[in-house]
Amino acid sequence: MNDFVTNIVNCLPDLLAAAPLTLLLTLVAGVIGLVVGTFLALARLSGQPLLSLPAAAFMFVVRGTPLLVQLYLIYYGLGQYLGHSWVRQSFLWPYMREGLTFALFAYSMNQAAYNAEVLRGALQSISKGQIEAAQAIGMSGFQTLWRVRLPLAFGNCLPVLTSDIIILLKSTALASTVTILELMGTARVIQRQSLQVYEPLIACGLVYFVVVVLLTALMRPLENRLTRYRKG
Amino acid sequence: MDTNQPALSVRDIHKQFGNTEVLRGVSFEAHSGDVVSIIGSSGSGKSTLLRCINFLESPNSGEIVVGGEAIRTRKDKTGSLVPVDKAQLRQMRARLGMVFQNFNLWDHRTVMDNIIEGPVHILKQSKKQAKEQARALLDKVGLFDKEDHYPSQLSGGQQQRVAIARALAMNPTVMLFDEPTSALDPELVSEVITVIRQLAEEKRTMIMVTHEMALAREISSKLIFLDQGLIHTQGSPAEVMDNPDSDRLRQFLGMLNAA
Ligand SMILES: Nc1ncnc2c1ncn2[C@@H]1O[C@H](COP(=O)(O)OP(=O)(O)OP(=O)(O)O)[C@@H](O)[C@H]1O
Ligand SMILES: [Mg+2]
Repeated sequence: MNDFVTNIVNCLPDLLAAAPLTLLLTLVAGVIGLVVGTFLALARLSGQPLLSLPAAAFMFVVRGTPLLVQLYLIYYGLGQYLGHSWVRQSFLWPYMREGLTFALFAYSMNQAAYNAEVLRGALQSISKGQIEAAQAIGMSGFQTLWRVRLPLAFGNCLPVLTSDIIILLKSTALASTVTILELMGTARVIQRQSLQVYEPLIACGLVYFVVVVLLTALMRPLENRLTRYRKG
Repeated sequence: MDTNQPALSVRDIHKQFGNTEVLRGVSFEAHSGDVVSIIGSSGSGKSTLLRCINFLESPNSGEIVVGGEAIRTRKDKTGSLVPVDKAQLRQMRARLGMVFQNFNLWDHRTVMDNIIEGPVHILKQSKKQAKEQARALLDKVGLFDKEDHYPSQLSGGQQQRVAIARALAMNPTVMLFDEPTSALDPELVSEVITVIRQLAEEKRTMIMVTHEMALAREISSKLIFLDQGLIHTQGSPAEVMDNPDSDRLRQFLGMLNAA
């Protein structure tokens, strides 16, 4: 039993070293997903078929298929395809060849699709009166969007957006399947090297848990600050 | 502004929703300092008329002239009038201060931010100047100690007074009120009426849809009875209310008295 605990503790340094990569995946995909998701939601609600139909199709397909399938398709499919195309000559190719780029792309698009759906609902739920008050005072469409609609929409759905970030964090474990040595990938390497099955996994779970708790603790005050206008 | 020009001319406004004609040619004028009150039964088109004035609703035909300047429009393919020049429309809207039945303050902004939003971002005043003015307005509506509150922390009557201050902060040519007291609990009505009465005393030009007959009688220079999308009767409050010239008007006034 003592050995068991020692083994777990021995896994921690390597895992902690891998945690920043997990955070990087989460934060980059989280930010890109938020920005792209906002545009998607606006396109979806634009009333212009040329914008709303592609946005709807993208959201439908991405949300309707497993993330693992998307990861494989992008990593093996897109990676292979680009590897045989002119892109290979590009100075960017050495970076693009890495699993990380493809994984970031896959996670960002996934997050964008989910955020877009959440934001669409939040934008639609804003009271018409507040938008009319903005128009009536002489705001342009962009001012109304930027100063009234988006802040209210984000305020409405902030709890969902933050819990989606936590889900994203945990789903980055799948990136280990496309050769990325984030937390989960590192745990598997330790498994192979140490021939221990459970200890690396338990240690890995612990680190995830601590990261989730820390991230939640960081986001809570932000959430409170951004929604302090609610009853209080 | 030319003082001989009416502050607001509403000319032959028609509006239909689908096949129902809600406004069937409404015209009236308000000169500087006038208070025009619009009364009429539910569904007679009062809100629609007010919303056509600042183009929250697009009329099907007619013209709106503010301080001598007409809102330039063309017909779109659905038969509605749409503004030709969006920048002009925004300028015109900035000169028409609207107060809504449901206040419509921006939930995510403090009282102060609600009031300075227009002056700072539409009129491009400095924040400092806008805040000074906002404090004076808050004082005027009796809420000088509430500038850091959010709308959700205020009663309905307080919210409506902030909404009035927000509209006043734009120093509009004309104020538009759509039943400013009908969403309020009865005990909160008078605090809002007090503010409106004060504005009338200051000779603010106002167009007000209301069911508050006592207020309308007291402050209106002109009373308009809107019925089925047409101006049925207009005149001084005494003319319209004391000698109703038709059954419909008698019926409407009787209904109010009975209520
Ligand atoms: N956006 C809309 N679409 C379709 N019909 C509408 C719309 N807005 C108003 N109407 C209809 O137009 C008519 C006039 O409505 P309006 O709101 O102007 O009446 P009102 O005189 O303000 O009534 P109230 O005293 O109840 O506020 C009503 O029959 C209403 O159902
Ligand atoms: Mg109405």
